Amino acid sequence: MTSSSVYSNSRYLRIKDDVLTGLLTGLIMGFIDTYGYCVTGYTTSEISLIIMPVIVYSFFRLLRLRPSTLDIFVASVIAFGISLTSAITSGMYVTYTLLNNLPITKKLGIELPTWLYFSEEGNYLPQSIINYSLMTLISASGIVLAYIFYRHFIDRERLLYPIGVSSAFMINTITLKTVKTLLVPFLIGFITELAALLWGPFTYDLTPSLQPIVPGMALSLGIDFFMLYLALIMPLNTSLGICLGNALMYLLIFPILAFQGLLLISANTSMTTLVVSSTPYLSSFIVGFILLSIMWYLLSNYRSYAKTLRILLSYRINRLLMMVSLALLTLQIVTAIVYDNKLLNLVFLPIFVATIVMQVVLTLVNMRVVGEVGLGSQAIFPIATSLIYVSGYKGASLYVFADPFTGIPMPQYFAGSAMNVIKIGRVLELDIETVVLLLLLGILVGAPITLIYGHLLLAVYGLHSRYFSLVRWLPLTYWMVALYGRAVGEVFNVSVIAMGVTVSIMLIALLRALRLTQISLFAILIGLTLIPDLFLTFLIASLIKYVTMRLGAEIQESLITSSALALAGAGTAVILHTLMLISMGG
Amino acid sequence: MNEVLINALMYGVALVLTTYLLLRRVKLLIGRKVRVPKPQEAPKYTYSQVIALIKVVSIVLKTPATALSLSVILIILLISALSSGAVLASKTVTIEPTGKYLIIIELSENLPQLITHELNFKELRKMIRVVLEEPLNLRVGSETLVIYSVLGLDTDYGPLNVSRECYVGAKEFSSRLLKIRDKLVPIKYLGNFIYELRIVDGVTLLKPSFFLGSKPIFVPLENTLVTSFELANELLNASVPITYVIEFMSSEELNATVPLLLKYKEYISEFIIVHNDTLITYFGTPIPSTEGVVTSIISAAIASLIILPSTHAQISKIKEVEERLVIIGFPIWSLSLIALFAVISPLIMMGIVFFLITPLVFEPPSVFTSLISFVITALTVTAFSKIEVSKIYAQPEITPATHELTLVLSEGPHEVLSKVDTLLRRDEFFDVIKIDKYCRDDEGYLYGVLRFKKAWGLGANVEVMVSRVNDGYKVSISVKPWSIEEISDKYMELISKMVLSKVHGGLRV
Repeated sequence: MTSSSVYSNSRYLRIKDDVLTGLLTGLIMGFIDTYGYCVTGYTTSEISLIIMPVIVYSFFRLLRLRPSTLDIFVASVIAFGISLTSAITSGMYVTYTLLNNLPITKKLGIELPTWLYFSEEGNYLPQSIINYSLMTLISASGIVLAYIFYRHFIDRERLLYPIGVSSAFMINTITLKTVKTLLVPFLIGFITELAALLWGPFTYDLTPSLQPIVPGMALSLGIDFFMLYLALIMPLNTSLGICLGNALMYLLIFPILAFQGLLLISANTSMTTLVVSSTPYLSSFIVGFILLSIMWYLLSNYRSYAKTLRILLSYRINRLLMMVSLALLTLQIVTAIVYDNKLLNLVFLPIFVATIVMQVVLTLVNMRVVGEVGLGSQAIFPIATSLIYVSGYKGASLYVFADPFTGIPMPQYFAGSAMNVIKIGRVLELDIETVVLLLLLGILVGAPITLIYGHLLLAVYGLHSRYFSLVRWLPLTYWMVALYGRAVGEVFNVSVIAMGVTVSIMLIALLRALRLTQISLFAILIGLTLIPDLFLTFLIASLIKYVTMRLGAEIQESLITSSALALAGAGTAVILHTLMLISMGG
Repeated sequence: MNEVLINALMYGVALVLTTYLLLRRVKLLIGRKVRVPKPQEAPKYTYSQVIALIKVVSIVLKTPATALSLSVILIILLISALSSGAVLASKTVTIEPTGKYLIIIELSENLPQLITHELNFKELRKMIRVVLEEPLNLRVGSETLVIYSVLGLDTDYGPLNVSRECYVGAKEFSSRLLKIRDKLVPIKYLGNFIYELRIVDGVTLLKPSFFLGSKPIFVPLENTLVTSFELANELLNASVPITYVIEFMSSEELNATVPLLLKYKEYISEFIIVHNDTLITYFGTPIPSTEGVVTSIISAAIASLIILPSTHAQISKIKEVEERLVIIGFPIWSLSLIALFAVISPLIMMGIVFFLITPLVFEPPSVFTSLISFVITALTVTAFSKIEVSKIYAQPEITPATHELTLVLSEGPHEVLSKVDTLLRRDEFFDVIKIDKYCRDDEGYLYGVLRFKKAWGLGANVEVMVSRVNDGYKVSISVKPWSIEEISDKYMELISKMVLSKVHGGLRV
């Protein structure tokens, strides 16, 4: 096939159509991601970078336009920017609503600003929109850092950025596919997810039966179709790492915690109760694990970072952008002081400086994680939380405005996603400055929209609907209450932090000894943080990928493109289901 | 409100600035020409391979050996399920000696006739210990008392004088009157002492809201109401679980009562037995008995012994179609995997179907013992099949493929690199993503990034260096295959060979 037969004609870029299509796609995908994030606790917006080109392309075709790869990319970046904000705005809005409604919150005297959560009594929506949009702007400091450091990660460290590269390939592939080949996997994804929403979830919790045999062990058999399609897109080693981490946590670490008497195994110990009650230890373990992993990573790469910093400081524009980024990060501290006057004390100055430095370090680490694993992980953020906790601060404000784990701004998350977008820009040879500005525009436009989505979902479903199950947020919210109020003695447990460090050292040694270094420590970390009902899903995905990879690259290509399309179909089923429920009055 | 305006201003400025900068950039984009691709039919060979794979599985499925394997597994799974012998799970802890023989039972529905008529006990006390999902809003004058936790006691308990008063943890309501239906009850302040009160050692009087680690977390005192059993029952419309604390004269009487109560296990949400210094908590979920688990392991071992010879027959069947598989494009190394897949997949499918149906028919302990049998059998058969397959498809290792090649040609660097450039651009298997060429006097360098057309995320980087040696020119070709995924080494070598042979062959000709 020669290039002349593939490319039928050439024309100028339709920038207006691209922006409009991007906005339209962003409106739909923003809703899917908001709903998905609230219900599952996992953001799908990062991975939606692969789905965006499919949806964008479909819209172009519906409008009877034949787009170029560049048209698809421009529209996809805007749509992606909108959907990304769901984790910052609606995700946190729902979390704080749940937190505010816990009885223990009142007991501990935790006062949250009224605009932070959904309230049936008063209408604080305008303030919520403005303040959450500002928090999104603060998170955009991560995009600025990504722009400064992208050469380091893409050119110097030569990181793959699998999601970015996958998306670039998807953009290239999608224009060459016929409707028939796109429709079948899309429908499979749509039907399976719709069936799961109507008659699911298809899970069988073995945890209660396991307690008398191995106390503390958690295992649930089930298939989450949405996560299955997502896992099929991920590299095999990432899926395996997630499986390994998940098995390690729930089949080994949890029984050890129960054996030490840290977990109480009661008559109603199900998977959910076990995960809820283990939150302080889960967080402590992850703090220990990530502490060692970050040290290991920074020590192995410090030369490269030193060189990058030298280069960075030699350019005036980079120095200026660094200042902008730091100013935005400082703004979160200023906001925290505005809402909690007791922070206006010199005692807190070192912790303010340390928090800002930690935000930058975590942003760099997350960009590295995304480069390697494909997806970022909020699992690394409790290390910032622990920093604020050791300062002795009691209250919500500093956490809400300056902690990427339990608070709103997440520059790390935006930075990782921006790196994926920049990678596409690199592959498709588009000016990176334009790419970054397009993403920024999508994010700034998307913030108020996705917050309104979160508000609408809470208004329609409330907190206790079967169709809008927020149960996955409970562990985090209970832990947050204990953290903010400093009332429960064991928010972090030193011996469990030490256990996290030990397991991390053992894993590094083991993976090196078995020559399995391609299984990333960061993928294992993601597995540690997922709940046990996803173990089987990732295991099945790993087996399917293992078999297809050995049957030839053509079948593998088919699997990945089909999975991406099925994921898009599953996302569409979520929208349809939600619309059905809304039409029936929740 | 001021800070909201400042926030709005900052956000607005950022939005305007981003739009302005973007518009400046867009002016450059508008003039950019783009190429519009034309859709193509999907390559058929990918699907033909999948269809072939399904056909191989169907060949194996049709063999008598498969029928035998599946029947054996089905029988064994059923035996394991039926012999599970469910028992209630329990946990035993030692407590301070109480000198009492107690049963603490929480029934999800009020069944007083069960407790009073069927049992022979020394003393019976009943209480309501609930943590509510939705708050109970009680009026105290013009104010509202929001209650999440209710404790209703049928008699006074330690410092709690519930027959005359009710207790709330909010000081401001102390000494006021709470109106419950048509009764007015004086409110007294509920102190932290409530957390220390126990039914027996290890069982708190107040129900915990949840546990954080092993630490019980209670509803805040100001949202807790302690009152008499009757008032609590009236407030909650008798629709809540009731806890009965039944004391027996002797251990024998207690033991005789347990089976009577377990008849109503669908109503039991908490069941605790106290034998003086031993506290046994019964779990709500039944688990398989030890005998049941042992039976399932033995059954799995027997099943594996019966199935193993039949897998040999299944693998031999695939050997018959091996040649046809190679013709339609399966690489030799994938045959062993196909054989293994064909043997294992009926087993897995059978397992999936069985475990989709059994939860509808059997209790969880039966499903659990069947699962043990299935996992053991599946792992044994897989391991044995892998050994069998590797024996049948064993091949001598071929010499590793080279990724580098050096030639000596008479053409100069310009001609050589132009030729390579044309060769790569006309290649039917690869698309050129990028080619950089550099020529100076007697030296030349070409760097190309190629994408494999027939697969996703697969390609190769090629480097060609030309330098002068004696009468000719030394041409060094180096190929580095790459992939987004972890493609097997053999496939990567194939990519490397394709690029290398193309460049090598083209230059030779």
